[in-house]
Amino acid sequence: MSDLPAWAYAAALTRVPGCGSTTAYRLLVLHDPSEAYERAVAGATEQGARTDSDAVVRMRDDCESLGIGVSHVRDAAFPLVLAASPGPCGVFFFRGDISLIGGRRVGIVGTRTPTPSGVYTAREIADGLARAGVHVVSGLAKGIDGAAHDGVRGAVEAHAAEGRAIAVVGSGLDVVYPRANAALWEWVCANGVVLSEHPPGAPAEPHHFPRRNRIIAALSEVVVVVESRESGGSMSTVRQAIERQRDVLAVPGSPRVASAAGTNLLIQQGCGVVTCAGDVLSALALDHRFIDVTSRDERSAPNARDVVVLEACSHGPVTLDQLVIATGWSLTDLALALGRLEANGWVMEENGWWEALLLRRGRHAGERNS
Amino acid sequence: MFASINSATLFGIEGAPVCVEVHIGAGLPGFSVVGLPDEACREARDRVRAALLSSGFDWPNRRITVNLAPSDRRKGGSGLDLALAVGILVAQGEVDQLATNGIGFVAEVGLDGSLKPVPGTAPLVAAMRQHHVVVADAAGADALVAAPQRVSVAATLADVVASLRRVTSWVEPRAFPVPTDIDGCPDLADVRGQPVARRAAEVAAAGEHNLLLVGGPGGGKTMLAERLAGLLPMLDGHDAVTATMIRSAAGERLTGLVRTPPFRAPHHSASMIAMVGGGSGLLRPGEVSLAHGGVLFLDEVGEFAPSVLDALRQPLESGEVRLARSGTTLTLPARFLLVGATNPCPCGGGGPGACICNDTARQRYLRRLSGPLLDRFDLRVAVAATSPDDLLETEPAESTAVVRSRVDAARCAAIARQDKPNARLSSAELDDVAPLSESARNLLHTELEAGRLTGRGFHRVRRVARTLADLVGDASDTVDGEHVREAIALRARLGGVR
Repeated sequence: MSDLPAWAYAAALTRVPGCGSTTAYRLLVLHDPSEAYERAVAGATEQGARTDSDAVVRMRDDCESLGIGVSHVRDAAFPLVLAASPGPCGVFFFRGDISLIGGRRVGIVGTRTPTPSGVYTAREIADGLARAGVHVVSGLAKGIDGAAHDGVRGAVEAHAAEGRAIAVVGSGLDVVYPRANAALWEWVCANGVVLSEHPPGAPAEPHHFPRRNRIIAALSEVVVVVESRESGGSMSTVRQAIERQRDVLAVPGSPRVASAAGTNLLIQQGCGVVTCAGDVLSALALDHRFIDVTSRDERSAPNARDVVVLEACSHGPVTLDQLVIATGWSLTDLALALGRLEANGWVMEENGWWEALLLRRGRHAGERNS
Repeated sequence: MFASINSATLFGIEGAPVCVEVHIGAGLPGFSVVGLPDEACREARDRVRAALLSSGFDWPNRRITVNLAPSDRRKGGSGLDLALAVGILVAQGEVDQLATNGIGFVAEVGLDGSLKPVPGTAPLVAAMRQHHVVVADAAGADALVAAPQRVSVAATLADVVASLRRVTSWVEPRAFPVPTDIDGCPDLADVRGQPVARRAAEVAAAGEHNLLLVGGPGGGKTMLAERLAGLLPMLDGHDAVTATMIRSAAGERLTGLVRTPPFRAPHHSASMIAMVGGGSGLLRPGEVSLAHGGVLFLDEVGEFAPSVLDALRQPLESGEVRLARSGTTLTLPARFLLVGATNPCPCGGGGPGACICNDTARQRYLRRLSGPLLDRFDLRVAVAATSPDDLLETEPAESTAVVRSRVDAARCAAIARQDKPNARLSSAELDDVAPLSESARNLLHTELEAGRLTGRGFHRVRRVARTLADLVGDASDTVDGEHVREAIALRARLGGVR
């Protein structure tokens, strides 16, 4: 037993019944990993739980065969931000480059059911941050989280950006959840880092996610909420961030859109407003790195007539009926205009509702400084 | 001691002649019916016995055997009652057998000797073309619809016997009014502030394209679907007779030949048999057949049982439904325009961002619809609740009559060109009758290449584009870019697929 590495003992703690992250943290701060493990097992046996004598060996083999790294609080490389109260973390698993946590980090969170423009915003902000060399922390969930990481991927692939993705997930690192993001998950493992408090094989259970959110909050210098409902996972991340004195910024949305109700509420309560990556960089005091993404908008400008339609789509999702009434055009003309706009990426359609993608006028870096 | 009386039994929407043979002979008093009767048929004994006694006739206390010929076919329902009662009277010598020759009897008898109408009177009468048919008073209109032959009505069993004994003469049924126009159909002018949904209804009617309305509650989906039936052409000739037979077989009272396109809106708890037809014994027509020539409206289409929705595929494809049962196969006509209405997600929130469902629930909801059935909707249109301003809009929208004149012209153009509505064009025929202009070709190429249009969507869009061209009168010309563009706009992307 004595030839097993210390990290294997620390990792094995996560599989001891009744030993949560708080207990694990307390034991690891006070004792060596092997000692901590013995105590945890003794405690569990006292409670009548069955423990497995091979657990440590199996944990080592699992981690080694899956290429999963382990970091614990006694480890010199352990990120101090995670050891800080409240809700410190004693041990976590990772795949990828853990040294990224030493860089500048911004969390981007939001609803799992965003509007197309929310997705676009998350992607654009993440893209801008990555190009400015800032790492993006998120949860690899559906919706905004995935979009943020996807934005980083775009920036890295198209512009060799230095900012990378840091993902914190609520399942074992070999259990990809949600399946829809499997490709993105692998990309982040290869080009960034994926973290989890859960041992290999642990399923994604609902109660894991609020705990996961506290790590996202702890890892972020600033948390950006792109779209959120009035209650839900993103708001729990916001609470965790506030407890840890992290800045929270929110992207404003239309009052008619339910999935922006939470962010608008945050703004009412005094939270900072962001509309682009530049705003986030200001909060990090990195304005000098700002690259104006809008000035590089590759979409060809819509013609004067199509702008009328684009304008009509830009106040939230609308049906064709509403567009015909708003513009007074015939369906044929409208269909032609929407076709052109869609082809150039100005509008999007989902289930018959049309929406403009991020109209932005005259907000360039130059104007900001003046 | 023996009698043979003509009647008919119902099989699907067709009648089959039956000969009711009655034999009264020596032996222990008893009564047996042979020849595959169903329960209603078997119970005829008690009804007929009471009816005979109530009407002042004797019930023979001898051995009575009834055979329903041809005896290898199932008989059902109470329509054979009157024939049985007359048969017993003939076998007893109360009525002369010769007097009943050439006459068919279709009615149920009540315990007091009154005659009652039975479901399917129209097809039953039609099955006895060679005979003079006697039906219950209340079924006179139903019988007349189908019959080129002589039809008489009677109120009671005693009346029938009196006429058979030539004491009184037969009574002719009252003629019914022949409807000449679609009446009772709500007008399209009531739909205000939904120009695209109205346009979709027009296109659907003109090309027989199935239409899916997507939107939250209060969007007027049902209202629009009801008015769509009024845009379809009146049923004529063969279709009118078929629709009439179907209605009658389903047990509905007729007031005349059915000429108004039907509008059927079954609730989403409908069973498979209610939808496609069938049932034990008598194979009854289902909603798909009742909607023949008209509109089948499925509100909350995602809430229907998946097996019921799947069963719609055959009728949608072939315009008829084939019911196979042990020993019999029956084909019922079922050519209808399918109009579906659905919320985009279980919460009915409407547009993106307003919905509170989680992703899984939303995907599951759309998946219920997806695949083959979803693909059969050529037109998919989002409808939102109308704003008060539009509802109060002073200028009334176009009425059904105005829109119908355009629809009729487009339909005629399509029928003249290819002898079927555009929705039924095969992809090979599309190349012939709907050649693409240069701009249309480029446009479709771009959309396909960018992944904004699927291969299936491609053919659907071309059919709709053909109809759009027909509606503006470009019957012989190629399909233009603007038609294709409009067709694409009328096919909303659902679950990310167009």
